[in-house]
Amino acid sequence: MNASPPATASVRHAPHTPAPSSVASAYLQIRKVTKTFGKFVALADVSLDIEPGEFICFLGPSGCGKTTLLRVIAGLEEQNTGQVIQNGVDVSRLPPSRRDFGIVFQSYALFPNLTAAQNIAYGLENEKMSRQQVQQRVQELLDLVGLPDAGPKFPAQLSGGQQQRIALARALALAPGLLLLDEPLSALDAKVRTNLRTEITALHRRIGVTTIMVTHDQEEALSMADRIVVMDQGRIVQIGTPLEIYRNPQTPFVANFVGVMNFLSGEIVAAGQRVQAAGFDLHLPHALNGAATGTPVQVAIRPEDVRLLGISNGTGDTRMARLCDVEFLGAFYRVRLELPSPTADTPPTRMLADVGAEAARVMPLVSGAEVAVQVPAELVQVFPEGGSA
Amino acid sequence: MSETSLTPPPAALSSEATAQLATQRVRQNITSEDWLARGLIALTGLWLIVTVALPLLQILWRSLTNSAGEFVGFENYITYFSTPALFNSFFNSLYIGLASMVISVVLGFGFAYAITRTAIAGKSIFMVIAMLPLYAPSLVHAIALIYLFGNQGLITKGFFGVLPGFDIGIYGPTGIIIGMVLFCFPQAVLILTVALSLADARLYEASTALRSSPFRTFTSVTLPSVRYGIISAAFVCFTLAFTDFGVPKVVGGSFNVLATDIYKQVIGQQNFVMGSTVSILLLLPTVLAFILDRIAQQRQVALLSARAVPLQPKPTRLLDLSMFIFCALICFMILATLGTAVLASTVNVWPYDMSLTMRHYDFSRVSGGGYPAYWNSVRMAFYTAIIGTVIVFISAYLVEKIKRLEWARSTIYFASMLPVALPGLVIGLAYIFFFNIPAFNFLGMRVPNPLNGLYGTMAILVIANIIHFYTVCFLTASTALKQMDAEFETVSASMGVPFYQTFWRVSVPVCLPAVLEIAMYFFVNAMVTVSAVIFLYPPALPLAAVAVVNMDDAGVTASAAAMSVLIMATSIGVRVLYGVATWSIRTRTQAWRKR
Repeated sequence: MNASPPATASVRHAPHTPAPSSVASAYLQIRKVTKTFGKFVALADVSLDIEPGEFICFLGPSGCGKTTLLRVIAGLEEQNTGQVIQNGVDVSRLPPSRRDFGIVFQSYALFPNLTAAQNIAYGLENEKMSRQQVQQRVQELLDLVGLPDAGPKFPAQLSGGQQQRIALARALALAPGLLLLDEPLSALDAKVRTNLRTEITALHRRIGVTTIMVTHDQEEALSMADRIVVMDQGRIVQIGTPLEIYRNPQTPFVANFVGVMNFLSGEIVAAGQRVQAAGFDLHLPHALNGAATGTPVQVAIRPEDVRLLGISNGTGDTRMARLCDVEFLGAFYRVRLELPSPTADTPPTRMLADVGAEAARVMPLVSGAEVAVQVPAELVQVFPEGGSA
Repeated sequence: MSETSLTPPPAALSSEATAQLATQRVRQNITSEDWLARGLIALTGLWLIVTVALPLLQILWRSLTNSAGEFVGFENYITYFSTPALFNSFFNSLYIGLASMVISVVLGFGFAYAITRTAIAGKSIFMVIAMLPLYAPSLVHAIALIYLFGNQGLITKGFFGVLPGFDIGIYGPTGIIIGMVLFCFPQAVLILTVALSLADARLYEASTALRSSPFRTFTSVTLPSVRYGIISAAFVCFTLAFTDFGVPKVVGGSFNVLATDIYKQVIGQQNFVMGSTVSILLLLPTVLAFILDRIAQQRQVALLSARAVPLQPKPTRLLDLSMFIFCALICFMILATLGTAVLASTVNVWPYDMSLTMRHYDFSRVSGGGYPAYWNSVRMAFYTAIIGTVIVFISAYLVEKIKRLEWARSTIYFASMLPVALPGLVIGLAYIFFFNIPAFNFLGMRVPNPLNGLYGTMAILVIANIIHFYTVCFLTASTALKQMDAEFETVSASMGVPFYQTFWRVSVPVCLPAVLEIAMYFFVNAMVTVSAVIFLYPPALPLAAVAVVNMDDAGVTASAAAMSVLIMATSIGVRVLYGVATWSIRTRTQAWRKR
């Protein structure tokens, strides 16, 4: 397949778009955008910069404002206040038809009475292009999405995954500067979804168009995005690479929304370096800023970072626990553990540990058994108390 | 989702943001395309103001004035209610409306139940026969009833003395109610078949699994799921029976109803003031029923989820047999009345000389207008179908798909629902008042009426028909448009394609079946209607359905029957032609529907 950007790129540009400003390097700048629906605040003072060619995912639970933000960027919703600056131009007051973007919806929104080729050519026909140029461009796009022969077929004759690829080709037909994907994979079967996931990322790498995808699926966001924008209740909670988001969540909300997290209540026992939580005594590798001794905290650790040992090694980060039950999840086992509470009036702490199939062969997992649990201090996150997640 | 105390409370805007909110709210620029959409919405609004709102206000105003045009408050209403001869009609109409409604809905429910929920044979034939009355003017049933049960009726005379004759007293309420039921029945069946066919088999399986009796299943699963359909059917039947003019005109005898009173006041006594007073009284119950129906329909939630399993009726011997007999009896009665009309139009002198003749189809020696009237009706129905469909579909598109001017669109939606509650006679009388005025007195200024020129033309007849049948068509269009993906317009905008191009290339082709259905509905109804046009047709433009009234009035009943048969044959013929034509068009242009 053709690896270079499509030959007839930039067939459409808004006539009023001046040359990109050299001051701002970001392709898309969102500045202090607020949007309310009646009393409901969908977006509260949101600011964000997106670099040219980036693949960004807006991730969050339903109602967090991610779709509203996408629609504001497209001009499908009018923000109450704030600016959207695309390629150096303030587009806040432009209607969608005057902005430069392609969009793909969860429902595909393919015109049912037009063939795949006619759907892709739909916007091209309004450009000053010869019939032959249009045909050539359509074929290019069909090749690009890996469906070279689908042109004469009607949407109803294509599978869901194929329809979504045609929708993608249609969105890219006018070589837009910005590609917007609104939960594009949510309506598809699990297998098709994973396939299309890799294909969209590959396609993005090939043509390099700045892309924003809205999703509520953390796995999708982790595997596809250059950067993830985690949103909650109309605000951006964290922006970072998938690894940063997963490894260093800034808040218990992010920690809990992306992946699975154990939270252990405790307190700081030596300012800046030692915490005790659920009976574990942990020497932190990095000093905590400005946290005084006695401050209550939440210690967070991923289940796959919890280690099960045959016998206790006697260090502070290891405790004995009861193995309550084992869930087989194919590649690994998820083990539910109960840590006896140090005092009689507090309930025992429960936590999860993931044991790889390999490790499980060495150490049999039996319900009711006593095991030693290690919480490696270098892998924990410490949050101030109050964000229970 | 969880609560996170590390982030500030989400609902609270910073004071800076609130200040901005008050000062510089972002508004998108208005493009030429937006102006076009706004212009079209304004035009639609203007159309409904001119054809619905202003004429209604005129009729309301007239009912509050005396014949000299001076304001007299409720004096006309006081006169009305203190004149027993007038005042009785109101209760007569209510009685006819309610009785016909109950009988039509009960029979319609039984019929629709047999069609959708039992395994009887011949369903499609039963359905075709049940729909036949839709293609005939309401008077046909009344004329046929007179041929059967009238003074010289076939049954009254005991089939020429073969059987002992008996007189059921057809002139009066009995005849009106029988005629009305025949007329309303297909409407009830149509609505209830749709309601009953939306059944989720899983609910019935659950009910059986819980060992409910068939009766309990019927009252706890079937009835609740169709209650909104029943309300709708009741509303439609009540409005039809309460306001119909044709049936009481023919078999009413001395039993007065509101519709015939309006006709007598306006045509007989030229008393337009009392005519409008009675019109408002005719209007009030239908508007009330309309409001009740709207409230009920708003409560309706989607009962049928996407995962519902369609119900496949299983054969049950006793039920199937009795339902088959029930349907056969109803179809026999429909065929008998319509057949009587056909037969009566083709015999010499009913019931004495039953030799066949076509002489009643030669209208040259009778009043009414004859074949020119017939062709006028065909032309009128054709214009109504074409113009009405264009107006209805475009306005439904604007209401459903244009995202701006929310208040204007919801007002247009309401105004488009209203005509269903307007009796044809009221529309006709209101149009006389509104279009006949040469100039309005507006704050002391004389403003000439720009629409005065339409009075007495084909145009006003077409407009009256479009408005009379507006709501059903608007709902059909808006349902079809709702089924299309809401993002089509968004996707088009993202490609810089204006909405009118998408309307033409996508919306119209995808909705083509609904568009043709609307055109068909307009044509058939314009062909058979009497009430909307009887006040409006000019002498130079006689109409077929009105000719039936006039010929029946003049005593040439056989010719009236003959004209009715022509109307029926035309409506059914056009319907069949339409079926054949759309079948071939559909196979060619709707290929995309097939998988």
